[in-house]
Amino acid sequence: MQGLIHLAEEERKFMKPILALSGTVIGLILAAVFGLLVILIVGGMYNTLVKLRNLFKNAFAQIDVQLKRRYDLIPNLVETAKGYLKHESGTLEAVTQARNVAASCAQTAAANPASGSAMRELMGAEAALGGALSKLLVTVEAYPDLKGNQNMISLMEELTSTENKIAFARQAFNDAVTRYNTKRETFPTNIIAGIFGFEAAELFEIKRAEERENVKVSF
Amino acid sequence: MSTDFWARQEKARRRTGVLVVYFCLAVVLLITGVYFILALGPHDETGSWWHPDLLMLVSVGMMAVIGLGSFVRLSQLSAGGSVVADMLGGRLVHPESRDQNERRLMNVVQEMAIASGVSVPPVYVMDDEAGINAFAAGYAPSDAVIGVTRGCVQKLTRDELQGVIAHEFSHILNGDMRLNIKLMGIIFGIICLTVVARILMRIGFYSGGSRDRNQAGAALGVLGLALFVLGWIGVFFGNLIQAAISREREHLADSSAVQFTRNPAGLVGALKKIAGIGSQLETKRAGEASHMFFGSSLSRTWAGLFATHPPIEERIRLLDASFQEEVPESAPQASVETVAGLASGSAAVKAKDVAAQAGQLSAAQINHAHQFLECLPSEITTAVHEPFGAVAAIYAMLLGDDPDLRQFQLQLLGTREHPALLAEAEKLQPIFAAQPSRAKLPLVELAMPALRQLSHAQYRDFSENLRQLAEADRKIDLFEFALARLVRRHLAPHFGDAPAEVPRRSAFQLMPSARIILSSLARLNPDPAAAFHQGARHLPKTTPGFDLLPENANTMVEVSRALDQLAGARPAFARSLVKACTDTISHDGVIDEHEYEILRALCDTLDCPLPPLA
Repeated sequence: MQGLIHLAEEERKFMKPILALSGTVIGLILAAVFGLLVILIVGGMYNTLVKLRNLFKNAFAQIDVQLKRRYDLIPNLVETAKGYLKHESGTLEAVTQARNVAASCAQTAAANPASGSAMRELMGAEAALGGALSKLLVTVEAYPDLKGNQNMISLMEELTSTENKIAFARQAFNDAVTRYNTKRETFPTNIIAGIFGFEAAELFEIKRAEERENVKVSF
Repeated sequence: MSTDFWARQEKARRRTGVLVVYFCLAVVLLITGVYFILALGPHDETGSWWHPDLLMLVSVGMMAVIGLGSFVRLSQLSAGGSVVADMLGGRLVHPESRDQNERRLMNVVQEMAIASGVSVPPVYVMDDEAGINAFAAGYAPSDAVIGVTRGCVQKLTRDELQGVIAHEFSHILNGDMRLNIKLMGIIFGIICLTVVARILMRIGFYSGGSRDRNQAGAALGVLGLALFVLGWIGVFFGNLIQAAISREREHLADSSAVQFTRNPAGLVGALKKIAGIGSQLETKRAGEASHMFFGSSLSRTWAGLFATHPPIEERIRLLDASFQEEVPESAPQASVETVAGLASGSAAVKAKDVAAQAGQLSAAQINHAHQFLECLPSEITTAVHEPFGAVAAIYAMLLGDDPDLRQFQLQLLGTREHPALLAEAEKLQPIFAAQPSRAKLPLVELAMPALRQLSHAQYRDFSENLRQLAEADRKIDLFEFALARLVRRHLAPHFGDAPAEVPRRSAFQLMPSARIILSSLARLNPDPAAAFHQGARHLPKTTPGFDLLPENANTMVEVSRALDQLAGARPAFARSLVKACTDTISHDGVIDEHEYEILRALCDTLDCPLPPLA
């Protein structure tokens, strides 16, 4: 067999127009197609990061709905307890204060769940609220009249139920944040994340041990 | 509608064929164009214009670009309609939204979903769009997504909103969506061509250097320019295809919407408002999806041939005319009465009447759905509208009455689920049990949006628990089994667990699966063997050995696998199977509510929405 690169007469005739296009041009066309591939791949990775970010933002919306419900319950709780806890106004005041702070932090966080600082502030405010609430609940234990009040009972029931929902929503949020953070840190998506400025997201955790006990469930 | 659900599905599928033909035509023309520009170029030495190898190079190159683009886009879209919604800048609406208008929107969507027997689809709002427009995207009713503009939410009355949503639901029920998504993939492929062209142009015109390279560079630039021009022609073709396919569907969707709501005024009102305010979208991605929208989404410069929607005046005129005509359509109404007769267990029901109900909507059913939603106890609505409660609600509906069964189930779940969830499920169980049989499926449909909010990890656990509950051999009722399966099936595509599209299977391949299903249904009857045979008459190609299966061969695992297979049934076979199942169930002369609901749940597997009993 003659050399592989030896072309017969006809073959050379066919090859002329291609060769006329010159090696550089073909090379450049291939480069353009390669360029398209790169764009599609980069585009794909960018879209994945955006999708995962949207997922955890939506997950925060679920937490927010339940937090708002809790914030709405607390003033009712305080009103009901007021009549019975005439000498515990400090405790009640603390709860109302903490609730207001937490509510405004939640609003900020809801506007931008991707912001680590907003999340940390909310966590701090929630921890404070948790502490104030548990103090209140301990106080209520000492007043059997209040404890037996129908309104109080149903409010407490709703509060527990809301706590459960918050815990469940938090778990979902943290799952979503973990997925996003993992994707953001692994190769090759981390390059794209760096270029386009995708920041690490913060997990929503409850730091105070007392809060955890009060909730009576462990997620 | 004179044609039934499956005929419409067939028709929509055939249109996909037309789409492919147009597309191939477009690609061939583009390739020819590029080839001639190159072949007749200044560097040609032989003087002839036939260079087969050049043709091959051009063809392969361009097909690679278009093919790559389309493939990538279609695989992105395989996750379902939510991809489209994200692309267009949609924000998911929460069922318990504090915004009055959003809640009204959710209520309208929920009513319509329940009335047609479809899961409540996720609803997205495009906050940045002031015009009035809406779309429905997805492959099948189970992964459908509805999007509306902010203008829609704020500027339409409830009736008008209902008209628009009914129009979108008709797209869902007519099988238009699959076609639309494929179209999007194709359009994107052609757009990729212009991207490559732009790159080539840039390289060509801006490359400096030696004289030799300059010549090559100039040639490249010219090539790029040519490609760019042709790419634009390709986009024209894309618009042409979009227009050809979607205009007719829009008229059909309009008339379906009227049929569903019996209220043309609503739709006409919405169209009139669009005439005043406009339906244009701001987002740049509107072009890719312009065929999917309720009203024209692009500026009015592309009129006539390229318009994806008929002119508004024409649409209004046609709607007004149909309103004035004597509408003889008693066909769906009569069937509704027959179906209502089922509830009282009176008529010996004809299989074809039930089958005719598939994919239908009527104003009566919408009203019933509205009543149903209004009368639901608040504990139920609060539960199903958010994820924790929704999961607990599903468990609650699956917990059996039989104490042994309940013990077994709680034990199974106890090792796998959080105690708070189980406690909630047990608390909800009596409330859900108090609801009639026919409320179960609608409640599951209502819970879907909340269940989609689960995280991936939560979904995996939930799905596995449901599978274990469902396939615990013969320990669960057929209805609960169908419910558990339905939930998993509707959630899977959303979590990337299963593709939205299933490969089609032939009738021959599906006969064993059909036998399993028919056998399970036959066992609900006092005379299973006879019931089986009555149903089997409707199936094509039955062999002599096609008999009732012995009881021990008919386990839930088998049924599950059979249903997996049947998801790939073609419309014609699906219709026969539904008729077969109906006949088998009604062998004892009566279809009670419970049996009808089982039928509904099974039909869901076939992507065939059977509406509830009115």
